[in-house]
Amino acid sequence: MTMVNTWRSYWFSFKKYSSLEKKEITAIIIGSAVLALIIGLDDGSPEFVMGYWLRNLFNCFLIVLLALIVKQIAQRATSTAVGFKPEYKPWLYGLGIGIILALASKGKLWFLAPGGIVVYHLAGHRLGTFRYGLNYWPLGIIGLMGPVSSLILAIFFKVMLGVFPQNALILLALKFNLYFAGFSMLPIPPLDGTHLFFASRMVYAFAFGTIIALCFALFYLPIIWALPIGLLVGIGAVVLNAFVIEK
Amino acid sequence: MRILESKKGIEMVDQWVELLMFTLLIISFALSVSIGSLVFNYIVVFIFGLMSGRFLYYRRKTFPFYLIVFGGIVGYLIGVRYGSWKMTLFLFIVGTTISWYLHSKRIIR
Repeated sequence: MTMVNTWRSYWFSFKKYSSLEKKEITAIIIGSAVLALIIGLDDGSPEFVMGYWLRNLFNCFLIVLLALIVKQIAQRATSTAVGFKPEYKPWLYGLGIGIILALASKGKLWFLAPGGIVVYHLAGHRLGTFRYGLNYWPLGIIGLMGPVSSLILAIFFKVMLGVFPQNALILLALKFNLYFAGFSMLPIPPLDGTHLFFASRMVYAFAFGTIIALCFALFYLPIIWALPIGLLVGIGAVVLNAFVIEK
Repeated sequence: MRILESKKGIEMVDQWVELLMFTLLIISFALSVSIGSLVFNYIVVFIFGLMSGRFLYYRRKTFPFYLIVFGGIVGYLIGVRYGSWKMTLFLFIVGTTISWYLHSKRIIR
């Protein structure tokens, strides 16, 4: 009975505080369009054919939109669980830098930084004085959920690629999600990595090492090999952080 | 914070404007040299203008940031390979003005 009530309470809070507002939906759609332009600028064909390019761009838009929605769901579910109200904030400089780099490199260089999440304290839903207010650690976990959700989506596409090999669309979706997870871990203020960086440097080192290694390993190796390699690199990053950087 | 305690750190704190201006000059020069098309050049400089308009609007009362943006556009103009530098500069100013206007009217925040 208690469990049911807990889930009902959680679901109520999720619906009440985690639904997307109009400005957030606009920001996600604009962000998706810009990221789609970045990854779809070079469609891989030797000659420019408008119809083919536009179709590829639309496919890219759907891939990016899916990735952003999954990321938002993961981060919003986590922030509701720890008692914060989430809000998606676009990063206009990041989008601008992305477009400029994509145009300068004719679509070869991807810079994927559409924005990040900020949270607000829900005073009415926090009982007692235990760590009352915003604090770093839950914020770090919310931030971490972004790259983790992108990686889970990438693993899903990797499995799909096993079922439909040589499918260019699934390959692009896999590549995008891996890049997206990697970029999200950068400790540049609006991106998700920043929250974890300020929460715990050691956990950040582990997560950064694991996620960056997984981004490479999942693209080139089977999942069964990629996961242990990611964990090993993550442990290596913790050791490096403890004995060299934080010495 | 260890770097701020060293001599280099003190120099950096004193000369951050020159440092950032020179860095942006180099980056924008490399960027404009790498652009291989007239249309892309004009699109990029327009977006650069939009970004600098936002950057300057939020820091409009602080002079050093104008210098940093000036370094950026000078570096870009030096490296332009396609199109005229006058048109490039014009598009940059148009982009900056539009962005400044949109921010001042609170259409973009």
